[in-house]
Amino acid sequence: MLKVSKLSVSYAGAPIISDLSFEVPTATTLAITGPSGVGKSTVLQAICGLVRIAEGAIFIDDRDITQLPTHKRGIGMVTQSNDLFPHLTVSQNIAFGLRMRGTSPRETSDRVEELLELVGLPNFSLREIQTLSGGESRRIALARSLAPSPRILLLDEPFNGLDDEIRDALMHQVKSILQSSSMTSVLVTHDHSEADFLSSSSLALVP
Amino acid sequence: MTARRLLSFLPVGFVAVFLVLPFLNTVDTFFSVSNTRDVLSDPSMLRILWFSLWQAVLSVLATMIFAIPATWALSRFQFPGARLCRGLLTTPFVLPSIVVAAGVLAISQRTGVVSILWAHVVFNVAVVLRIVSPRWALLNPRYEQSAATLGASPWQTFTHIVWPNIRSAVNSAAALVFAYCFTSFGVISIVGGFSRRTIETEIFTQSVRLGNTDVAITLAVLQMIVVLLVFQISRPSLLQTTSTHVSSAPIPLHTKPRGRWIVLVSVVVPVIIVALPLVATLIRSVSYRGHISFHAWTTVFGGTLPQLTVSTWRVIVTSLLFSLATAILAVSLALIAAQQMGRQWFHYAEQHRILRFVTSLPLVVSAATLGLGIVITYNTDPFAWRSHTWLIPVIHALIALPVAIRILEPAVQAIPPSLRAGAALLGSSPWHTWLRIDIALLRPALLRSVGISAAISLGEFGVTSFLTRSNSTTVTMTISQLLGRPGALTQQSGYVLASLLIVLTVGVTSRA
Repeated sequence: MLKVSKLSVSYAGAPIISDLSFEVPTATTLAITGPSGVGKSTVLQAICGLVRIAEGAIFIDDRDITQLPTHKRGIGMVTQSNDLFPHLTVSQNIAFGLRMRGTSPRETSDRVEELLELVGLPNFSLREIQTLSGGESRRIALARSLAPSPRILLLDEPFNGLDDEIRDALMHQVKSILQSSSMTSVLVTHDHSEADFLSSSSLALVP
Repeated sequence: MTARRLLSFLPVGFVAVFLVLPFLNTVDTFFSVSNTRDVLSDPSMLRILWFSLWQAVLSVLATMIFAIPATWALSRFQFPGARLCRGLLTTPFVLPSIVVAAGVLAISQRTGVVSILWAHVVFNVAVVLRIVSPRWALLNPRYEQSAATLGASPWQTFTHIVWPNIRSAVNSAAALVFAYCFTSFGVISIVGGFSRRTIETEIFTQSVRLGNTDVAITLAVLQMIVVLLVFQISRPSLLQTTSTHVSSAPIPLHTKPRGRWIVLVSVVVPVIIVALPLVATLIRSVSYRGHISFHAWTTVFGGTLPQLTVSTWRVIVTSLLFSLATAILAVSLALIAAQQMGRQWFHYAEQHRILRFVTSLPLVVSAATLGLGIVITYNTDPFAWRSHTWLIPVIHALIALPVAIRILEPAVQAIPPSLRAGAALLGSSPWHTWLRIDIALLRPALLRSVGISAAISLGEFGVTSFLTRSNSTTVTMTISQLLGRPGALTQQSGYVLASLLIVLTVGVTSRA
């Protein structure tokens, strides 16, 4: 379970998030919706420790992770910009999180193959990042985030910028993956149809 | 051959006459295998070779220790004072080596390896910052954030994500820093003392003081082989521009979740290391036997230094005139070269490569080698130029040429060809288009290259040591003379001139 308690985030002295609290039960998805600039992505960045929080606490399964550095939180994240490492191949990108944990090469290789199958790109392991289309990049980014088996998956506008056809296919794929892996996740989106389709509960942020 | 193509050969001809020809002539006349064997079997020469090498390697390591964290902090984060810190760290790049060396001496009060390393660090932090910072800024910070969400520690993020992306820039910077330190003349002359000699200072001693030209040229060739080997191994981009274009906006420091003090320490420590010698120079210029005294300032500006054969005003005016002539010549030639290399209508790829290669040569030839070649080659009529005063700004322009080209070339390339076409369609002649479009848009880059070229001339010490005469003594030569003599007032006067040079250099480069 993910619990966010009285979270406040400021930027240059101006409050962006004030006193925000919510819980996401294990194996469920919470959708955070709201207009642009309301601080939806900032909430995700605060959960994974990428921005400094002014006040509040974050718990995973009742363990306070507020003071833990990002790399020790066990949280995966997919963003609309993918952020795939351009100097690594597809398989090296997916294997990255496993290498950081010291997973054996054989296990890593098996897991990479498994994830490529899962996202429907089985023959892509040696492909260069620059050769991928937008939809392929998003699916590889998803596979990379899932590889280290995070306890929480954060999805920051994961379907933005994709064609309708690819977007629909990917939404079904993500829903299937989240359900089959019993993953706890938070989805940030400004699209209510995405929120309705993927989440079990929702939270609307207002300016 | 058109006038335009003939013009493109002007910079190449300039480098050929004042660098390639003198060097080849000197090597042809004085270099021999038996001399090389003698030099390499002389224990004192081997000690000099070995010292030159290890002090340069240590200088590179020391520079990187301070420069890489500072580059990271300034490329990645925004904080109050960041701009000032960047300015303080990059200023020594254009300061005269002799001024920096004098500043280090003012603090350490002793010559030796530590002072040499310190002076080299002061200079070269700017080299690393200018080369690595644009590359680091190009690396999207989101990659590092993604690595962290995938479980990578800060060190793992650096080794797996950051390092592969900045490695080539760091290698380039390291090779250039090595070359600068391996061929350093001013620093070793001032803070090396009697016991610490390098190949560069030994070339001067052997050729000018002892008259052993064959030994000097052997050392020059050996030095060039080492520099070329290092460049070959690391393949630095000699065409690296000094652009500070930032493609990823730095992150405000107050949003960084933790370790903000690491960012501040990464910047503040190098700033102290770099700024202390400059501050010490200013303080030493007004301190006499432990008291504050402006006596040296009034003595210098009264033009009555008994240690000098000419007035200090004349020395200052000579330096300023040389720097003006250098700026005009270097920037004119650089503009010709940059326009030839930058314009799309220049389809002669081979000539383009030759132009780029030849105009880069002054970067790889050391000051002593250049001075030695000039003194030997232009010594007899009708080319007995070595005693002519005009030769000094010409050689200063030769040294400034590659730097001026690297400032102007990106600016020339940034002018959209459509602007020239548009001007032509509106009835503008090629001359008017050049004047009203090219020159107007190049104005900031031209001012910058004029400032840097003038600063290079003001601070040049190595080649000037070979060419100067009593009637053409420059400020750097005078500082060297004053600091090398006993007497508190004499030394203080040296620091007064060093302070003046800091002010002049910062003044002429303030638009750079």
